[in-house]
Amino acid sequence: MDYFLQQSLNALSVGGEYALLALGLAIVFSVIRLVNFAHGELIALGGYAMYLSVLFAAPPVYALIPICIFVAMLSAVCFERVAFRPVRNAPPTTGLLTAFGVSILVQNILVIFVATRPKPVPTPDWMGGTMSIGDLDVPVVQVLETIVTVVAITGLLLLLRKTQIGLAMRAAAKDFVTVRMMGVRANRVIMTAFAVSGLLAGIAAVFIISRRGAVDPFMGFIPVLKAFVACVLGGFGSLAGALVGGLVLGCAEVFLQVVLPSQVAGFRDAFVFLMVGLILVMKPEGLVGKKVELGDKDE
Amino acid sequence: MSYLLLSARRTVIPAIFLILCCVAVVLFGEGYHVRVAYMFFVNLVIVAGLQVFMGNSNVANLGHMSFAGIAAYAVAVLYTPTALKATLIPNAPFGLATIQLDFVTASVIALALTAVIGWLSGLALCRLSGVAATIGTLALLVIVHVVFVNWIDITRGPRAFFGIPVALGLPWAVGAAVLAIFVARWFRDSSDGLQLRASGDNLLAARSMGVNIQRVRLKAWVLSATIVGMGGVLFALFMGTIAPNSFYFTQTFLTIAMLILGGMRSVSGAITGTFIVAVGFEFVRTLENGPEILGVQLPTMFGLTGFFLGAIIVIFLALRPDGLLGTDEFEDHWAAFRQRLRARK
Amino acid sequence: MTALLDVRSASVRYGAIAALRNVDLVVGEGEIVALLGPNGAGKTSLVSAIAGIVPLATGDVHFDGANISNLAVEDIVRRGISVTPEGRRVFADLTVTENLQLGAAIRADRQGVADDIERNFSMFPILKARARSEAKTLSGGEQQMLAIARSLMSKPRLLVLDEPSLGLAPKIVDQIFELMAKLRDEGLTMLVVEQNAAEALSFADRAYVLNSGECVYSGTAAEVANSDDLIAHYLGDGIATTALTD
Repeated sequence: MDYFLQQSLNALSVGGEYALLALGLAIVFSVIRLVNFAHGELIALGGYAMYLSVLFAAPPVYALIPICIFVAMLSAVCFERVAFRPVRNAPPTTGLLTAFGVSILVQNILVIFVATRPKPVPTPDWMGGTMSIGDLDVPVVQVLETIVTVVAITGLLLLLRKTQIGLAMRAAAKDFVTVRMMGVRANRVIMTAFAVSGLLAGIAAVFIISRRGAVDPFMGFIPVLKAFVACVLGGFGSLAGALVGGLVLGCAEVFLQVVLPSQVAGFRDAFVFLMVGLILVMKPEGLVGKKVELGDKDE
Repeated sequence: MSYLLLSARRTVIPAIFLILCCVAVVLFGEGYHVRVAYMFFVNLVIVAGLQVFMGNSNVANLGHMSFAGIAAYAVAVLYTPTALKATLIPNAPFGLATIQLDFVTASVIALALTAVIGWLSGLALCRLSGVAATIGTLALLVIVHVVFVNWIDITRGPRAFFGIPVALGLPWAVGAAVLAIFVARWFRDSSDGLQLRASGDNLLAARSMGVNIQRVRLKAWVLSATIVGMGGVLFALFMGTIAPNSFYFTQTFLTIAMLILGGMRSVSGAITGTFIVAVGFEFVRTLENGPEILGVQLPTMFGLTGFFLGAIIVIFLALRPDGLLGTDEFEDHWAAFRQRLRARK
Repeated sequence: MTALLDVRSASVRYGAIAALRNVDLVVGEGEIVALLGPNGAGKTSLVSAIAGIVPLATGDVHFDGANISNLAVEDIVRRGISVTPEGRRVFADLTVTENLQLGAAIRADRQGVADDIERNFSMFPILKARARSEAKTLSGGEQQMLAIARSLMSKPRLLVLDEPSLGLAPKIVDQIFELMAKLRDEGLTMLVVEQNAAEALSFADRAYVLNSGECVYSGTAAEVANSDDLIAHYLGDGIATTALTD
């Protein structure tokens, strides 16, 4: 029973991490139909901001966390301003390839100016410890991650439901032109979408780095691939779908890890992506999505 | 049939150019130059193959390198001497460790296998459009890569598969490149190609005109996979060593940058892009290694080549999304140029 | 009467196709102007050009004395022009109240916005009943009312209504026109695009008739209504059907 609870918490925290990343992807996609492959680089940039702060300024360790989140947010907004705005009205495929280009560009800038090898980054000691809940010893980072995910998602919901810009973002997902006819500035909506995606990526980055203890230029790649899977599972562009998809993927991974015999464990990612392919073909609207009619704003 | 002739005629000039490049390298080049030239032709084959699907259908494809990998591993397993295979892959299934074929048969079987896998994957992927299709191709790339890394009995896993006897040289590569260009031209000019291009411009309109999009996409996809597979075979039979990472993101980006720079809507664009990026890439690679220029020792800068590729993709998509040549082939540009001259007189 | 909206020789092109050619149109302060014509006459192109959605190929648009031809979509409404688009285009996933809130996106006075939502609710009781429902669950007529109410939330000086009666049942159409009459009586300036010529003419001060992208006639509503030629050529259907129902 303890083992089961421990693994459940593990699944929840991993799923939460994927959900944070997937929500960021989904929010940008829903507003401007951009598949942001460079999302993973936000994690790396946040991480390197921590590394460089330690190198040059040596601030207290807890101060690194807001630095990471802020830099991820700022980077997301910069990506939009510099790279994605010129291709905003181009077909979605162009945006996707641009995002790929940005991703390679950022990775290699990090390689050129820092190093290919991983660099150590400290996170507060208490994040690495364990705590007791009842008679159960659990890693602090997992509990924290679960709680923070819940808080972040609540915050996102409040933003989307209670603020003018949030309403505009939800409406823009279906009909951007009419939103602009209401006098809402397109740039503001898009910037906010990117900022939110960067914020969520920054939060996820803190946890990813606290687990790894180091940063490297390509560290964002695997998490963002997972976030993609989560988005596809839930139906691309659907926020609820991204959330559910992230949690489902987290649980599935932990489950497969526990159940799969070691000889085929290496093929786990192949199974996951095969599942992605099947869902795309059989149920492109995702596991929780509704079918869209031709002519709705959709691909 | 007339299309076949027309496409052949239109392939002549690029073919002459490629053959001249090859002759120049053979006459004046050293071993390093031969390698660079050979890789240029391999990439040209792959980019031409990529163009067949991506350029005509206007669907971004990130999975093409998986077909180069499948063909390369297939030919490696079939063509490597059994004595070597006894130590490399002693536990290969289907008795593959005890089979050894000549390189032509091995290549043909490898390409046939690639085409079959292309067809199977195409059955699923060609039902998708737009972003979903691209994510599907990405899934394909990851799946095939994971299989390469984990099917140790046949691929040696993440370690390199070495000792493939070198069977091909530059003339073969030029021949393959010319063939790839010809086939790509022929497909683009064919009625299937025209229908696919129409669907790439306007999916709904093409469908309402009665274009069976899945069927033409599937044709293009299988053809594209086979041509890219040919690139993989060329690679394996010259380099002698392959690894899963030879067919993963780095190569994917390189070939996509080539296609975007030249302009993916035309075969001429594919050729132009491959040439310019190949030259630029070699130049940047030299810089990356920290050369001594005019007595000044430059620092090594790892990552410069990747930076170069990323910059090409981002800058071209922002400023010139149709690439250097746009939607037109060489002869269209030539005709337009002559018309402008005439107009000036 | 001063011109509030002044469109001068406006043309709109979609690629090689000219959808609108050198059209002049004036709407005076406090005036109700109908824009009539058959399908494909260029009415929606003209509205889209005024709203900044499509660029003008020639000519320009002046509003309250200022040239607004090159303004972005989001700036038009800030100048005081609110467009209720063809096909209503309410925000389907948002509730009725949220739609109205978004309609007031350019306003900072929270209290004023809340008051105006209440005012709209008293003008459209049906919306009050559905305040917390998602807009996509509303009927066509209700959605049209919501779209108009949403446009009013920005406190426009000019309301442009693009085909407000399109696809609605006759009874609902009557309600919509009653509503527009009420707005007219409050002094709101309106430009109304209609295929339903009879209803529009009975309610407008002046009318323009477009055909194939050109303005073929302009005059007072009465003149247009009494011109058998115009009616026979361009406006036949609308008049005929209402004549029967009368």
